[in-house]
Amino acid sequence: MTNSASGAPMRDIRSAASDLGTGFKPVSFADLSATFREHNLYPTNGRITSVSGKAVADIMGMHTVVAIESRINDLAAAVRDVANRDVLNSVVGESVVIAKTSRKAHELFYMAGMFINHREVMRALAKNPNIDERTQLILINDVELGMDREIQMGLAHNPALSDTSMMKIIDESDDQFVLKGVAMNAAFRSQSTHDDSAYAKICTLLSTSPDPVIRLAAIPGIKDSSVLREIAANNSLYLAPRDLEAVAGNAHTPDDVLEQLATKNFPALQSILSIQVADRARLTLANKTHQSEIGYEAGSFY
Amino acid sequence: MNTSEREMFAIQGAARIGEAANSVGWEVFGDALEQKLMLVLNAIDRVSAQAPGPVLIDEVIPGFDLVVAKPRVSNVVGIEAAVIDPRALTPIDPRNLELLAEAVRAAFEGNGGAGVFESADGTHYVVFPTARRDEALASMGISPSGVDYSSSSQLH
Repeated sequence: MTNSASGAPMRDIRSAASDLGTGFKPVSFADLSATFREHNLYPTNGRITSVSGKAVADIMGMHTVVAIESRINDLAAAVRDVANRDVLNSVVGESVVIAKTSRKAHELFYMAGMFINHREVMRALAKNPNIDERTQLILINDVELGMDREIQMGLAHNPALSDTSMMKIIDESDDQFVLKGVAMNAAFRSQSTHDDSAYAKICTLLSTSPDPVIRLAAIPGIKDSSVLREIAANNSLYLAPRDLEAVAGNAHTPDDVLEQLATKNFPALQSILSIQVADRARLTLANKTHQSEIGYEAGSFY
Repeated sequence: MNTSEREMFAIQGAARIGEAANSVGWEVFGDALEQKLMLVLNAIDRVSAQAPGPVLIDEVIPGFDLVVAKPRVSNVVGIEAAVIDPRALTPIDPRNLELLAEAVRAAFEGNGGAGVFESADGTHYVVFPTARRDEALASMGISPSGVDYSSSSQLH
């Protein structure tokens, strides 16, 4: 390639670039899914805005500042329009407002029956924290609504989601995004109550998921000390370091397990991970001691 | 992306196009191409900043889609307009992107999925073959019915 020898120093990078180029890492779609869930990149409403690649590529052929800026502004405006789009006619629009704002469980249940074919109303219902279990089960059991990502995500994160509803979702759904949402919800609810709640049991169940993101979300909500002991015993810093870290942060983990985690010696290769786990365990132990000194039971400081 | 990240991609992209194009006058053409690519990358960021969620740029290079995804708690509010370098005003035939596509296609041979770049500000850029769009979108938490088409397709 005779031209490539021409002088400018920036050309040298050509020889250094690997196949996909410096910067881009090849990943499988499964890894991509895990990355999106871990970094919270996935849209909670399950939607994406599409922009025409050709409209962008045309910038390559433009040769005036005006043409280029005008194209960029048009593209930006097109995307903003999507964000602001109001697709509802006024009747359904009013119903959506009621579905979003009503606090009456029986009214919301009635609307779920009336507007089952109006997706936007059902989506608003899914996110309303005043819906009762009957309404939740309609949203979960209906075949089409069960496939609507936005509805299921809205439900998964709904603070009113009952434990029965959660179990139904866990039984029926294979959507890892929704299950992560349910795990986070159950963990939060478990931590917010003082008794051995059904939510803690749901967290125990979800901690057996093959999906590490779901396990991580669930472990903080576990209250059964023997389960936490088992997780610590069955995992190692090599296979599931973050699970161990989560166990180290849970105040219901037995003290002897915490002490073990706080002092475990691992080879230098894993030293950073073992430091994180040990630090977490030490902090949990310190909090437990402090709490018991001032009269609180384990776990109640969450 | 920040400026140095754009530079990295612009230089590589221009180099790939140059290798394949084998054109005369590379000294001028190459610089113009790099500045043009910097501009296009900045445009992509400015446009993506307008959306509340991820953005799909369909066939930004022939045969490949790009998704720009910002983390939910993000400090990216808006992207500044790039100062347009005069070299970027050289019109470059958009068909040169076909040449870049060849390089990307070759890189994707045998690769089971997508290419991901994580910017310093947490924005993730995902490239994948258009033919596998449904699969790629599903792995990002989006169903095929979850695509909102902007009116940008009417711009050419």
